[in-house]
Amino acid sequence: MRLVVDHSRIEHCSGLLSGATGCTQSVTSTQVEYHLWHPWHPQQTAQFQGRRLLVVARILLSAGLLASIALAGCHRTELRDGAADVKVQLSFSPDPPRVGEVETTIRLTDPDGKPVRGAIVKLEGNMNHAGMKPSFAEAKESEPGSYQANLGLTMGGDWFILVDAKLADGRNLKRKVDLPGVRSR
Amino acid sequence: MPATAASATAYAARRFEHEAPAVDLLRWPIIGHLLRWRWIRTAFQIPLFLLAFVIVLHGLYGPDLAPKNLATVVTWVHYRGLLVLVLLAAGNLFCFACPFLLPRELARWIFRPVWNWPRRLRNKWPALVLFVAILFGYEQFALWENPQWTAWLIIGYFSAALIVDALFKHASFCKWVCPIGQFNFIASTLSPLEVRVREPNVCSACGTKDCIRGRVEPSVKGSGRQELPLVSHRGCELALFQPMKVGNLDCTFCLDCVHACPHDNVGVVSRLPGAELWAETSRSGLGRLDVRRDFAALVLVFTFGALLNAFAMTSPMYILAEWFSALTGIKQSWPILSALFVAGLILEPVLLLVPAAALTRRATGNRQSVLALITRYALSLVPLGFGIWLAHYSFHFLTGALTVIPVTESALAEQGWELVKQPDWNMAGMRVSAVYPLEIGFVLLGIIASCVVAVRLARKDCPHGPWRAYLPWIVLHALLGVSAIWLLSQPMEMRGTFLRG
Repeated sequence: MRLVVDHSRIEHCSGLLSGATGCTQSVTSTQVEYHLWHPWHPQQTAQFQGRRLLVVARILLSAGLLASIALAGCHRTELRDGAADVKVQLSFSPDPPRVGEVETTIRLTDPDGKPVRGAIVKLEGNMNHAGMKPSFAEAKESEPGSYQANLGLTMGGDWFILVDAKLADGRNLKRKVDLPGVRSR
Repeated sequence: MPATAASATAYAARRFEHEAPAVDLLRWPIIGHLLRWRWIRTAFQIPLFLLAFVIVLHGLYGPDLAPKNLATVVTWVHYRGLLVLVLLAAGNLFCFACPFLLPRELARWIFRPVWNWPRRLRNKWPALVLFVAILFGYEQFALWENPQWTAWLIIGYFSAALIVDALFKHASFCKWVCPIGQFNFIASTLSPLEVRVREPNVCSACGTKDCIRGRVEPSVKGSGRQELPLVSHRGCELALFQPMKVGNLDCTFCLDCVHACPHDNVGVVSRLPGAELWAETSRSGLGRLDVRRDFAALVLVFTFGALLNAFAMTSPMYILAEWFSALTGIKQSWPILSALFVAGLILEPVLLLVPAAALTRRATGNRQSVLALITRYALSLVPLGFGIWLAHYSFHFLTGALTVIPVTESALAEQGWELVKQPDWNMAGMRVSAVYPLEIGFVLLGIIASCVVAVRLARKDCPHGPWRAYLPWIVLHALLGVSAIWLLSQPMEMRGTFLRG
């Protein structure tokens, strides 16, 4: 089977293009459709199609296996907090915080409400939007269980603070504290 | 030859005389050979597909912190930024390497689509609705701060492409559905490269028209019962017939026509960016743009959506939202966001474009309706819209380009591959103050190019006093451009839900 198609009629016959006029179909639209758009002939033999199906099945199987291995090896990465019983409270000055240097006070208390002393506290301020440079600060203990640091908030928007503290008893505390709506003015 | 076909071919010939291509990538020594390789597109799609796979995995299973997750960093910082910069510098290369189409190519080995895309939906309205939905969803669900939702969005995109193209023939997803594709098509009108015929006379003498019908080989070897013809090289799946194709609209740079052309008469050639916006001829696969209301609406969403998207990240937006909330007592964000979208995408265009078109009509005595004039002159908004998208997305990319390095190192460390002892989270990118002049430059270029398009359109409408036709549009472009510059100079407030803080 060999088709000879007048190119000026193709648009109208295929029914997809707009703008061409004057089409008188010299071949059926189905033939044109098929020949224009299908990379494979519909009358291919069962043998040919079977081989192709086998190749596709292998590819799909391999992709499925790879995906399963990848998914099995994955788990949602959480902050590894080794001191869940310690309460963390953050306060800011100015309050509410604005763009610029913000004095941050971190209060650490144990389950009995007693201050947790002698911790090494580090802060990371980051924006909820990706692609922003985070701010880092190391807090100093200003009074028992109370630590202070100046954190630079470089842009208005939603921030979060990651508190990373090494407690005197050797445990590691990691906590995320949301700081929404930092105003630029 | 039908009148429209003749006019398009005449246009192509005229254009060829005046605008002989200075550069043809296919004639370059190494790049040319690479681009001619039959599997070049697949070779680009596979790495991007694998990257998408990694991004989805990290989005679903990585840290729930947007700045430390590949899904949010790569998608909202790098992908968007590179997309607009590559469109500006070269062409629609992201559609060329689109990974969403790889599963459908595989699926088409099994499922042969039997339906044609419904006739009533053969326009840009479905894609326009999806485009608005993505812009709205991005703000409402704060997609930029949610790695899981970003991953699900990518999965949804893969699924949609697979389902649409498994059911419907040709490149239905690309042409009628894909909102990213429509964005790329519109933006690529400003690209310096175009896939087009080298010598129109060769096409006139061509008897096979393989660029659209595909190259037919005489037989399938080993087919058994009979020898059957086989289309070995696919023709254009987006219904763009090369001799009548004008510009980059609807072109995915798939290079199927390049591979199929038996005369080696299709090139990837340089051209004047934006010139296609004032080309008044029937375009293959599109018809006449100046009467396509769906296309004009898409351009308006493209342009005013750029302003809205940038506005949503600034301080005045939150002041306005809180004022509106206090006034109406509404505490949920979606009704306020909806009101903002109606104002930004419907009211604002109507309030600005109707007077401009009415003034043009009155000043020139043009008998076309106001709507027809808006449809025609809406094309002149494309450069300005692209300038604003460029300014916005390149800001995020240039200021955060290096953030992907510590995020990748951290992601590998999560899997036990520690490349460095401690990722350097201080890696970011250019300073905000250094990027600002670039942003302003992009918007200014957009204003200038929009004015040029308006002038060229007006010259055809009113040859003896074109200024009467283009003046209202130049004022409009200047007004929109100045408002864009004002937006870019506002302090940024990147917030999830604007009633939270």
